[in-house]
Amino acid sequence: MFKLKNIVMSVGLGVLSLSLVLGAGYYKGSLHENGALNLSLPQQNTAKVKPVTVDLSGQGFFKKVFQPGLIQVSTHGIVNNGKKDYTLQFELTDDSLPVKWNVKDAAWDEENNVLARPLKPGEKIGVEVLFDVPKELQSNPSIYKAELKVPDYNTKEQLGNVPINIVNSKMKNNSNNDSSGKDCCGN
Amino acid sequence: MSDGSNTKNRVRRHFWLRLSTYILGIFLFYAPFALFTRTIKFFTNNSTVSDVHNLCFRMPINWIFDPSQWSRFVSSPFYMGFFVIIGIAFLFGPLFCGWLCSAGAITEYLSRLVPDRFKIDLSGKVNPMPIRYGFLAGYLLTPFLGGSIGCAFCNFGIFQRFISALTGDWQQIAYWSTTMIITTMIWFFIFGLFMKGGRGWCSFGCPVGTLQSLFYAIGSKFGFTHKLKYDGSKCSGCGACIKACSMWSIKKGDQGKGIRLNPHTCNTCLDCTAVCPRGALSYGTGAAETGKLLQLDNISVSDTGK
Repeated sequence: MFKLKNIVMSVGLGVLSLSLVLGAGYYKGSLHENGALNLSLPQQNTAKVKPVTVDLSGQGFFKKVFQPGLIQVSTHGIVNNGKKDYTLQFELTDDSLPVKWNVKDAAWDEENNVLARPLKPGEKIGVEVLFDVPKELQSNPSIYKAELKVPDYNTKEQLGNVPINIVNSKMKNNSNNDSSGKDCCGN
Repeated sequence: MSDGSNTKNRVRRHFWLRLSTYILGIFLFYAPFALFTRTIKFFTNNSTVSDVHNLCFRMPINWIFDPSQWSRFVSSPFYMGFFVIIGIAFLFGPLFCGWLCSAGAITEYLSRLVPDRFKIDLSGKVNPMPIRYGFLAGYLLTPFLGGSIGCAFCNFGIFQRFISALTGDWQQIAYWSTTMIITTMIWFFIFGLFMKGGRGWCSFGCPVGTLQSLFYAIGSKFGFTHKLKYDGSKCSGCGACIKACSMWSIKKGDQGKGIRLNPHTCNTCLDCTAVCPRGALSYGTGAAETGKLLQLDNISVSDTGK
């Protein structure tokens, strides 16, 4: 009887643990707190590039409470798939938000946003961009719309670009509701 | 010199030895040092920046049952490291956990500074084995069910950020996502500083440790492998090993006689062998005694280890 109780308890704990992990995985999958992108340089078809969109309404509970305005867009890898070395520079077409660049490379030139060493063919680097969205902008449906451009610093050859959008879709939905004639004060 | 002072000296030496290897673990795997990673990169002509993510053991576990990912195991020498620690676990036990994993050790060591009255004590009340295997099963299944868990709840990544911040790169702790906050609260505080042993995360929620324990448990069945061994004829039943085990792997034997070792939760830190005043616990090859209850009529565990 005691042994049976132990087995039932163990199976129960195992199933509970398994369910919690699956739940945690789904929870993470449902969040849209940060953006991620991969860039293969030089880009072949810039018209087909999928924009990176970060939605403030997709933030989890703790992010909303502690850091709703700090948005991270990170690259898992910016790869030189060309046949020659490139000296990468990073530019954002909109500088209306405070931005911090985080590149873990000794050759990173913070002043010019340049990786001051040649990126050899096949080599890759990781870049993180931190956007600080002021509180007053956080309730805008469209907060930030820019392009991350990656030219070669020496030749100015355009190697790649990715649109980056920061939105608050909840606000967008509310404004849609407003325009459909619903009473906003009743929401 | 008396047995008591011998044991004290041995415990002290073991404490500093293990602390040293954990500090070595920081220098080997974590940026800005990452000496092991840098060495491998030097020989593979790879100039990218080194940190703990290079030697990721969590992602490969997510790839085990996904044939489309298998090519990634051989895409980098670092992913081969996954097989190395599994092999070591089979032959020698989860030595990585017990001696090199600084992310697991930091909470164990810091929890010693927290008074016991503030700690959650689940030892002897909750068996960590089904929980950690349930966690591992969920971890393996999650990618197939559309979830994301590999990087999301990673204490190694967060510990890397701590180390980076402590070595001057404060920007590494500027950004916090919801899952990072949850992981830090559970790993560092609830299951760490404020749990008996300080290794609740290792016991319940680390897939890397669990997989190693699984291979250790299998390996310990063979005579040629190294394992924790128990000699009941030398055991006085003082319970010092139960008290010393941060992973709650040792418990009283049936009817309070002798002890019972559980290789499924042991991290082979060997704290128990250091505190044992009579050498009843040892580490080495030989008969696969671990996990078996040795009925010993002449002893009884007098200390429950609380």
